[in-house]
Amino acid sequence: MSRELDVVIPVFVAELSEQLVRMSDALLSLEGRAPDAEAQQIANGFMRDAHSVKGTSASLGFADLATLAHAIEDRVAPVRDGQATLDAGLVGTLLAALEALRTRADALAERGSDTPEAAEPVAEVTRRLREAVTTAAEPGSGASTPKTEDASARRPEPSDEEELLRVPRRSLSRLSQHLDSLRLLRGRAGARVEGLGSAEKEVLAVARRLGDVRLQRDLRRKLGALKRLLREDEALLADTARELDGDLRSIQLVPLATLLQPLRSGARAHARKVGKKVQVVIERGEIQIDRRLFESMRDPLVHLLRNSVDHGLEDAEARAAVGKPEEGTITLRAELSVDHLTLEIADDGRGVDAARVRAHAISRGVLGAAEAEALGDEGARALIFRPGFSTAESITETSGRGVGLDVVASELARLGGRVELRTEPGQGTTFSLRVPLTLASEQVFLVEVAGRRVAVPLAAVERVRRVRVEELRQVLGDPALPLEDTEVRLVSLAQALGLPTWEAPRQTFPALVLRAPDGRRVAVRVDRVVGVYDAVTRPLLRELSGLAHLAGIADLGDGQHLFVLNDRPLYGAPSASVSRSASRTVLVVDDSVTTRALHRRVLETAGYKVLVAGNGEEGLKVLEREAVDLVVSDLEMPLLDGHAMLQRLRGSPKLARIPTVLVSSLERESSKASGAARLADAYVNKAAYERGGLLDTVKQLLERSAR
Amino acid sequence: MNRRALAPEAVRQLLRERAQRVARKLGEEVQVEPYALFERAGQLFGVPQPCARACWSSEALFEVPGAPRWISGAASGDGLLVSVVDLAALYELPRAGARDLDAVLVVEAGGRMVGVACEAMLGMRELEVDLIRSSPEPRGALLRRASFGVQTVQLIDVEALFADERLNGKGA
Repeated sequence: MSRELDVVIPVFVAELSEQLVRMSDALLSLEGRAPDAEAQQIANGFMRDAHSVKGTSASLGFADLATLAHAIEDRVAPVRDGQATLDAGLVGTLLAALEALRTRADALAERGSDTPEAAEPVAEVTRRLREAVTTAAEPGSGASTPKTEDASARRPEPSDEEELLRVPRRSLSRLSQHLDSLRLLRGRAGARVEGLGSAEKEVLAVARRLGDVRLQRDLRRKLGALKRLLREDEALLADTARELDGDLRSIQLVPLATLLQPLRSGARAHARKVGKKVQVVIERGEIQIDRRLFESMRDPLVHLLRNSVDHGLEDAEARAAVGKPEEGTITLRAELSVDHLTLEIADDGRGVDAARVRAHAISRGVLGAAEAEALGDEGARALIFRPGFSTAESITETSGRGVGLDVVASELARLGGRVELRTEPGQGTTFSLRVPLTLASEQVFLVEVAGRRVAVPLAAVERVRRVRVEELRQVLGDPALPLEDTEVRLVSLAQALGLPTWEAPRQTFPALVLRAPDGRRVAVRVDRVVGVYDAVTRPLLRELSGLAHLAGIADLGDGQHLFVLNDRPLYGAPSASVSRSASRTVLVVDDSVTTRALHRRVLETAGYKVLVAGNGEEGLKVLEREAVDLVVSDLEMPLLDGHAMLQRLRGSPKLARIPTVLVSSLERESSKASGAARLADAYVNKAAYERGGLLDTVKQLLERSAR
Repeated sequence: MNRRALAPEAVRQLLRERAQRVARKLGEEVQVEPYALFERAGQLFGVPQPCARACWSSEALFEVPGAPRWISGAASGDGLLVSVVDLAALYELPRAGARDLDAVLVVEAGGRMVGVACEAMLGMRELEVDLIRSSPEPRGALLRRASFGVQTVQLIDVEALFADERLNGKGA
């Protein structure tokens, strides 16, 4: 599997899980329902998800999943068009199809690769779905209910293995303790094998001295058998401990999107209750975090989300008056570093008005007029975290009671984290929650240097190069590696880690090119590249926290612990000379988080700065506030599709010249795609998606626009 | 052990005083406290039993690249991961008699844990409370000492050890 797929498949699985939940709900709502406007709307939402599954599957190369999604679309399209209803039998078949998608995705996530056996159930349910279509096509049925003869197509009952259980957290803690005990037992068993080995030698020596050959043989046989049995027990204990460890981890590490989903639903429900229209977007939902860590952040998150709905977002009338879409957007964004998780709640509302906060603080007696005036705008805004402060015009169920943001701040402090506020009047507010990680899964790049293995965060690795000594240059006395249109400083990882620095004279050696988020790069010489591993990473132990060259400790799951390099000190001071590609910004607009992650990965690896948006509306907002050199967009998206976005983009004097690439699962010549394709500078079919193809297209368009 | 040569009379005097100190009537109850005792750099150290969480073999120890000399490494076991401190280096104790590390004693206080590098683990021993004295030359967490047979045990105040700024990210 390619590096892109390694990273994107977990995203695909997480996104698919969400889509399948929505699709199942929609099917159950549609079962037996007569055609009406609401049914058509539900079916329309279902079709959008099915279409997204089809496109994403095709772009990842899972043609059979795309075919199944297409078959699902075919069955529900008449409902969307108001020409049919779904009976229980067909709903059963469709649910079985969704189950097949889920099972296949789980298998992909678990094994990380595709197998013919895993593809079989998908093919089977696709065939059943197609046969159901054939059977249902009754001449002259018109708007009648399509029938199916698939007797097995009942709503799937979860099997024992699939049944979900709610488990108290303390039970998980106890399981962890049992695992520790098991490891101890395994250690003891190992020690007993050693002890038995020593005893065997002594006993055999005595038997030799007695000169009894038969006794020696008997003892050797019996003790040997006992030792073998003990070794087998030790191995069994080791295997059991390893499996239990893996299972416990998989229980405790959950994609963030899954954890945030109920909060998203809650925020939307709350918005409906207070009469506001809100869409809640989750970015980087593929990140897996310790469920316990999330639970500890749940209350602050819920409060901030409700705060954004109540106070951040204006009502539809006020938004329309200032030219904003009636529907407000709250974006939940996550970033994972080796030792911290940052969760951002960003709204596109009115922002926090420092003058209003100041006035309110004076009126509430939080501080005096002179004191309030002496505060800068930033200081004034920070008052919202003071106990008893509230600027709500009206008291709602959860906010405006003067209890809240101070609790959020103290809760974050309790977790060893902090909350920060960024705001722009009229544009919106972002609350940033930063907490130290207790446990997080991360991919690391293992290298060997001076006889030790060291983990490098995969996110920092731009590429791996075999370097020939003669290609190195000297820049300001330091060796530098030429890379495309720039030279990158080369440092020795052994030296950076304070390890013995003797390096054998070699004509070639491997080097990692590391890239900081701000585009700075450094090449790092290593002795050997081992490969990419999944690891559970933990923050650096307190006693080691002064070691600036280390960022954390990685547990590879086999009992091995490795230190994770902190790449930040290696980049040196920010430099003005960054490569041309690193200075170009590409905006990816796609409603599929998987496709966004795939494009981001491909483009960032090539050195581009990547911004993302979930639909055309969001894309235009990004284009208004950021300098974007090129847009890669999907065609079919909710709110504002790719075609409408391109029309608005081409109609804007400021944005019209930005090159655009459309990536869609529709054929270019299809009626839906052809209009949009004419507005775009390039068109890429998702089914024929290739990493190199997209990169070449982007590069060519950027070169053309630079001329 | 760091011994000075004493005159025979001085030795006899010391032994007499010690005998008077440790002597007790038959059946008299002696107050004792349990300590985990271990050796490092030829000296004997003790950790109060409630603070001694676990003892691992030195196989649990692994290197921390670029660590200061008072960090012997890190160690993992029983689902825990700890830094391992070398008391001899931390308190610049004489290293005569230092041998290879044999074990890691995990000490705990206030929910925090650290490993202590040991050359030999002697196990749990009861020390007589009457024989525990303030150390004449206190260093960091080595504030008290006790007599154990003919030997002297340096008693480790685990909270004072944790308060050392070098173990809190400073001076590494």
